[in-house]
Amino acid sequence: MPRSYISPGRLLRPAVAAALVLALLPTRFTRWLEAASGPLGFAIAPISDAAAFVSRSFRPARQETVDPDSELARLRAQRDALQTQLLQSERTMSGMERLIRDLQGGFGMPASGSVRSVAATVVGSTSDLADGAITIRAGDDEGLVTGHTIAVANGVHLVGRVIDVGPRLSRVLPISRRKAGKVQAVIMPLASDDSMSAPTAAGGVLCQLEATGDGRLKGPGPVAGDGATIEPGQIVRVSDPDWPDAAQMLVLGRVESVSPRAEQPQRLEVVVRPELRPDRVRQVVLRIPIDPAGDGGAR
Amino acid sequence: MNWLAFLVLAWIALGLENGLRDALQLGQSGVAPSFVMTLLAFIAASGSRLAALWGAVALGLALDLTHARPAPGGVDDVVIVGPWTLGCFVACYAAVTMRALVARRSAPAIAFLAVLVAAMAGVVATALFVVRSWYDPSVGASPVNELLVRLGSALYTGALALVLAPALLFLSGLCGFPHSSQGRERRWRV
Repeated sequence: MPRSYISPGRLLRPAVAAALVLALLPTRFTRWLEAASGPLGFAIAPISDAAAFVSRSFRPARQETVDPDSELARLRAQRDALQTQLLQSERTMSGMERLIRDLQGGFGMPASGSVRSVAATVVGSTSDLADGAITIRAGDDEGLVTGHTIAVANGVHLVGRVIDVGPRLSRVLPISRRKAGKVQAVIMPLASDDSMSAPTAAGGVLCQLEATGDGRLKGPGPVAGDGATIEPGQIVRVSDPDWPDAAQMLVLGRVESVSPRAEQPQRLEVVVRPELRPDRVRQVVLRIPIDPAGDGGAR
Repeated sequence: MNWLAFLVLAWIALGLENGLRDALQLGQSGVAPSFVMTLLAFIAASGSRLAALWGAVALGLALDLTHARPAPGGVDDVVIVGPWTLGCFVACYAAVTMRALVARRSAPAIAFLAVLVAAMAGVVATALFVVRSWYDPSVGASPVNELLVRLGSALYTGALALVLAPALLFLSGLCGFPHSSQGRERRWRV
């Protein structure tokens, strides 16, 4: 009697045909496959976590010029955090003033945009380095929300936005990736950057930045000669209603260069370099909105 | 092929791919060596044809599942199963066909096959992503840039394979590749 069994050789063709069909099916039909991504990521996390630790020790996010444990470094970090808090408060106040005007016009009151913070370790990155995300050890249990949770490093530096939440691991798309899209920012006046005086966003210059792919952000600034002064070294902060409230006034980087745009010479082009490389951080703090519905962001 | 040994090697290669690859990146170009492609070249050089092709499908599937692509706009990502699975399969098929032309139990041969499989898998995957981007707005693809990065990465993978190949060849007995034990027996016999 002939034996009836399916040989691995015979199965190979249907497997390859299935891969071809899945590769070409629109995303709405293949979303269910994403469920397998989480467990696989979790399975390789022990190796990738150790490798990421070595990798980020070998090539850190920022070359420190002062000893990170020194009093000076501690005071600088404290100053940066306080400056950001002050600017965020200023922004909230101006938002509330607008809200009062809106309420007088009969609009409802949106929910408060309070956030909670959770620290998470970076355990790896996707293999597609030019556009890939970084993987962090935090997930559903921590209450992460896709599009609304942001990652911050050193208290004030925006790393990116959470784009995928799994049971144990999640993915953050660094702001320096091309696919992170455009972000509106404000170039802070130079006087308030490093001095101990209180910073203010008033007098700041708005610009729209987009990652260039080499770690920097570039975009159109103001029209040349309209009175705005932009110099290399000025701090650039997020001021974008499409980003969550917790991301507002966080630091994107410093102005590296300013030049007339090639296609519109009357308009300036601003190049911004992040002070630390968002894709090379070892640990991030996640800012999770308590009520995502009342939070800005998530285009 | 000893599938348990293959699974352990694949686990290590995927872990290193996700954790260490960005440290080996050239500047911020995205050009970086692939540990998984090196393993694929090794099994394509040493395993039986069928085992190598199934191994390629498994490695490709694992790459697809760990290669989430950020959607344009940067608020979501998509996992697309297929492009790397097919890429690895086609690349492995080519390597299995070509392996008779090289002294496959040598580090330079594995390095050469690593360049071949990484380049072919990259070209096939990029082509599928580009075709898909024509009708699926959640997949953004810039073909020229992706192709350049992947071809650069293929050359870099060859350099990595040259370093890793002696260790992999040392483990070929553990992986149960047929000609490795035959070769040893032949050596003892002679």
